[in-house]
Amino acid sequence: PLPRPRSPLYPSNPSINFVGAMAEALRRSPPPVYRMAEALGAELRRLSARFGPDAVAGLVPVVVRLLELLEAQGDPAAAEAEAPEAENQSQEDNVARTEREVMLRLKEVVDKQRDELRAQAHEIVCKSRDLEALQEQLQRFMARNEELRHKVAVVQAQLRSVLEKNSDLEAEAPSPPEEPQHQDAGRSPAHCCFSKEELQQILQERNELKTNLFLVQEELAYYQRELLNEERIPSLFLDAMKSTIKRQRKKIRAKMLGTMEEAESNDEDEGSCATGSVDAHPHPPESRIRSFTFPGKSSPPRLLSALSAASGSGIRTAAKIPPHPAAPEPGKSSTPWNRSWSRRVIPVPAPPTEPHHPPDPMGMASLQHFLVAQQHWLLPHGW
Amino acid sequence: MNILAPVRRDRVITDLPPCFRKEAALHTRSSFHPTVSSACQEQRTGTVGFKISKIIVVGDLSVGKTCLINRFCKDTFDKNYKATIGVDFEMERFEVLGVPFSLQLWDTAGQERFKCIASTYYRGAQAIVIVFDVNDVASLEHTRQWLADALKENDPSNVILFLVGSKKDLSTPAQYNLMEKDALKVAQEMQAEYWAVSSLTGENVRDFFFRVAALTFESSVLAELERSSARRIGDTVRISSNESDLYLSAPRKKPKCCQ
Repeated sequence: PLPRPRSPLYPSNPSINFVGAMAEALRRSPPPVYRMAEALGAELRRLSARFGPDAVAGLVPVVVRLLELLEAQGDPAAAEAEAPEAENQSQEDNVARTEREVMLRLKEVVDKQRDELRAQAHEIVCKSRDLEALQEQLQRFMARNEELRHKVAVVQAQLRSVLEKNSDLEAEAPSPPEEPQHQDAGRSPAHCCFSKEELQQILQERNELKTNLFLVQEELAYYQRELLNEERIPSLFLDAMKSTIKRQRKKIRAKMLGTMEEAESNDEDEGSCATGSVDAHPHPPESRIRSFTFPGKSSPPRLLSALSAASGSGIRTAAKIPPHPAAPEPGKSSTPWNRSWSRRVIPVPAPPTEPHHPPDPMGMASLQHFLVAQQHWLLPHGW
Repeated sequence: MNILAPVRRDRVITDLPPCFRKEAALHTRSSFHPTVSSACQEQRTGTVGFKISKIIVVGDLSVGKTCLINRFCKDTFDKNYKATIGVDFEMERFEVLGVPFSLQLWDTAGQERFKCIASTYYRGAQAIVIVFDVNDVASLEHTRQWLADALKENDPSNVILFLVGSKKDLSTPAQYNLMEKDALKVAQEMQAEYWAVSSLTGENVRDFFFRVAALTFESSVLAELERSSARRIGDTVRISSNESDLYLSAPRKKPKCCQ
């Protein structure tokens, strides 16, 4: 088929392509038509060359169409093909129409879908706005929750400490009743503490007591030794004496520790003591050990108070004596008094009523020096 | 005849007890100073028989100062910690070379708040026992400070020092050996005699206190003899540097560690 007018060759630039188009038409034409066509072509080329391609531009399509018609008349096959072409044309029209209808329908569908899409997009925008709002709300709630949890924790901690304080106060509660008036305004019973001076006083007193204990123990050991050295002493008496000394020591210890019950209960045991004379004297407990060491006396000289009287200072003030007391030789001066004391002890089982001769002053002096020296060494300087 | 009662048989010292470590000992001689031995034999010990030597025991809190003293004096051990309030003391009587001799062991509080009270008892000590825990390096480091504080109240040239590591039973041999190296170094710096003890098992406790008693006795008798001989000569000052043993007259160097 020949090129159609809607082919891009003609409308755009017919002057340039008309020769080719004619050659094409001529090539397919029967021989007589060819010749006429060739002649026409030559004429037209000449005209074109002489007056420019525009001069023949209007002529060419008409000539081409004529040549085509001539060609079709000259070619029977081509003439027959003319009828179906018309049918085809109408069919093509039908197709175009249906296509147009389909296109219209499609357009409708597309429009509808576009509207739907627009609506959905709008809906999505709305929903996302809602979502955002909800998320904001959620965050607010979470923050608030956090805050509340924190507050709860703080309150719980406060509650716990208050409970602890309360239980502490409850634990302390039993003691205040008897001594609330003694307490200073700023001091609770639990925080009652000693000042440095008070503590030093307590320690000094403790040290003095401990020192006295040591000295008394030494005294006892000394007397014990003296008795053991004396062969005339009956063993029964010695045993009784030893056990009594032991009890007395226990008693002193109990007194020092403030456990007087123990000391009281021990008093009963002393009643059965073999010496029999210990409980005969209605002296306070402090003096018993002395009354025992001088068992035969109706008015027993208390060893320590006698020493105090002799030196003019009590045992407690002994530490204040100058640092280097002239301590005598132990052996020489102490011996006579020891002897006399040992001798005095012997008649104990049968308690005498008459007063005995006073203790040897030399012996007392030496013992006193010993005790003073001991006190000096035992107590720290500066007391 | 002596006025004091005889001491317990297990407190009699006839020979000088040996030191614990030769590297850190006050001296390593095997017997008492000959002057002391002969003075005791001839009973020229003067008032030593009346004398009580003051020993102070210092060191960080809960290193076992009280336990150490209680193990030796009472042969007891209490596992529960009970802080010493201020100070406490125990008497222990010995017989050294036939001469009665007493130690007064002053147990001081390790707690800082009692330090001001405890330190008033430091004065007049013949020996300072500084205790640390062999399982606690810090307590060893603190011994320098304890020594410095104790020496403030005492004449450094007249006082005998002992550095004692306690709680040896809680330490493995390997750990202990490491600690001992450091402790020996500290003891050498202080010019102190080093000991390691366990109050729980009693390991070395008796030996340690016997050594303390013997050495304080020795120095006490020597000081007494020096005093009496000086008195005898009158105006003449006796130069003692021609003594056979120079350790007596050589002045003690000031410990380097507590300036």
